[in-house]
Amino acid sequence: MRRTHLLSGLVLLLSIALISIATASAQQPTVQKTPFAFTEVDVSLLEQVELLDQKFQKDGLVYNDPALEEYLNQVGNSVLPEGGPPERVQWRFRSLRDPMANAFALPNGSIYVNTGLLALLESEEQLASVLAHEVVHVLNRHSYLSFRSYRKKMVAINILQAVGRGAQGAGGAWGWTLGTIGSIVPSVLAATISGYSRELEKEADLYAVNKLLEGGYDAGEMVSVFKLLQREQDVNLETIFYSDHPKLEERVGYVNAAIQAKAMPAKSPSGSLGERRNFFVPATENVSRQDVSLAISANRPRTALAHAQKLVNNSPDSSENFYLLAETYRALGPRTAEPTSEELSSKGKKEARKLVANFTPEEQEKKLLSKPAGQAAWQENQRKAEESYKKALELDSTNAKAHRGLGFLFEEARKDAEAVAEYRRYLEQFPDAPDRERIQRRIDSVEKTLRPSSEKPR
Amino acid sequence: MRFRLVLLLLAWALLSPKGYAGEYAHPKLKSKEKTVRSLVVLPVKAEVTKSGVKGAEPMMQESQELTVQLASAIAEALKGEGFDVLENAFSEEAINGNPELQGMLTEFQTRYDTLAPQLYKKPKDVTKGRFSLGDEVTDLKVSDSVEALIILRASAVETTKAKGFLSGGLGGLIRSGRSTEYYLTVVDSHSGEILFFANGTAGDDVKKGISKSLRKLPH
Repeated sequence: MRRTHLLSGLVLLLSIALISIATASAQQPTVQKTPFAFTEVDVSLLEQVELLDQKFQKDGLVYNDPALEEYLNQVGNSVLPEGGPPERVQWRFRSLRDPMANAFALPNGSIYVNTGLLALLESEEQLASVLAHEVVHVLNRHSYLSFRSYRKKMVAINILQAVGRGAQGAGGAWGWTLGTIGSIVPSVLAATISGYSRELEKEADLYAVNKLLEGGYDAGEMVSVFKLLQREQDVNLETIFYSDHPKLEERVGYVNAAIQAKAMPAKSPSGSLGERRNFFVPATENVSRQDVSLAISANRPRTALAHAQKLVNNSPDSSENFYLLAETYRALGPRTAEPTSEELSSKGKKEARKLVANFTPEEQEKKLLSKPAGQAAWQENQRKAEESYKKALELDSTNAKAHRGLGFLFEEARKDAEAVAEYRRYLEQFPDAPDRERIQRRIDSVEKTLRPSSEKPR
Repeated sequence: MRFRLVLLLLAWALLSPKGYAGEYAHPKLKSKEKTVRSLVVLPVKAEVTKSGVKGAEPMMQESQELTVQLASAIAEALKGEGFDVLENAFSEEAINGNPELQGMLTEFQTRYDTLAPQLYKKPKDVTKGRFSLGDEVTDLKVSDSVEALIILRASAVETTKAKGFLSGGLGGLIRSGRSTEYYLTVVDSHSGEILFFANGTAGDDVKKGISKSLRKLPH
């Protein structure tokens, strides 16, 4: 018995020592004071990252638009430091097909901005702030440092978990205590991994402030980006950009302080910069359109609506933009355009997450439609969708897709005769439509059960 | 006492089930209201991760190899069962040379990934005809003669011996190595209904697991 207690005590001391070593060696990885030296582990990570770059391309995830890529590289290059790239870095700025508002940097210099984030941003300044933030992650080797720290902590976590399990097997009060420590402490250590990232994110923010001011950009637009990300378009989904970042108030605070502390830039925005500012909207219009479709497919209709509305606001004479706006209202179905205060409460968010976790998108719609508020929202969205489709046709009567959209809308509203008429107009205007078969099937199916018009949804 | 404990541990390590498997068919397939004879395989998504004492690490090269192996294995297994397989409709060349197809495929995969959590959670509901990806599936412009699409996802973990031992003692050490979970979905190419779903866990020979699941696809 005494021997068991002695052994357990020694194991406990060893555990405490391991925790201290792991946390001490992994804290405060701020600015590199000594030149970065590649280790075998870093080279191995770099090899994986190069393959990841290729995989994105191969899987068709990279949004290939030469004009957009040129623009991204122009803005990206404007926030790079003087001199050539660091060792084993080749700067590349690209967009990834993904409706989540996010951007990330790989340690080899590949910086990706999701289509979801490009659709959300409003100006070149905001884009520059995002790219500058990501650039410093590469410059200061944050990925390598994070990975090294992660590996050290995982050793401690794995050993502690094994000790905990072994101690539980030994039985008795000592076994129970060590078992508890073994299960709780790994979680504590795991939490310090995300805490580690927040220091590096702050470093990235402050670098971005400097670069924006040096380039003659309005650094205050960085704060606008934080606020855009914060605004929750869909209560049931979180923005990845934020998961390892300091809280909004903290970020706004230190960024504003950094802006005020800097002297006014010696050069005012150049003519070329002023001209480039007008490029942001046309340069990102196509990618924003693609993102609206992706967001609808990903069951993020509120995000899709916000982006489509922005497209219309920027180009109010575009039939295509009104068509997309109509599509998003149709996709919104029984949801309001903005989350209600009830949805934004913690109870509401919990319910929304449960709905998404347990029901398919169609089932979620049915559940929402079963409530009076859902039915009212559906009616309103139907009205706005019809209005927008008709506006699209007013701007361009040859926009056949708008007829198809009206067909879908009327079919959902059980206005079968009108639905068939719109489907036929679509096929007449677009005889080589890629979805000809699908639409013809719908016509056949609706005609079989042609009923009098009704305002209620299926 | 100790000897019995060791024997018990050994038995548990050696006799633990190597994996599970389930196959679920839509009522239309079971009743023969719908038959599937010809299929096309969408680009396979597979990933391999190393799980060691120093944490999880991606294995990109091995992921790529597994993707290629599974793509060819599933086509072979389907032909072996007497199905017709449309080849190259979604090859790398076909996708990269066609931005419109690329966009539609990404949207379709996104729709599948949005539905996947519910499907993987309650696969038995396939037998009730619960799941569908919508008739937008026809936008992929697959040939009229093709009746269904196959979506295959696989996730493999290679546990090192050290990690195995730390995680599960002797049993963990014996069970270290590669373990692959796979999810195989058959989608009606016209209506978008999910006609068949199979999932399983396999050791080194995941091709065997997939072949076994495909044998249960009604045809």
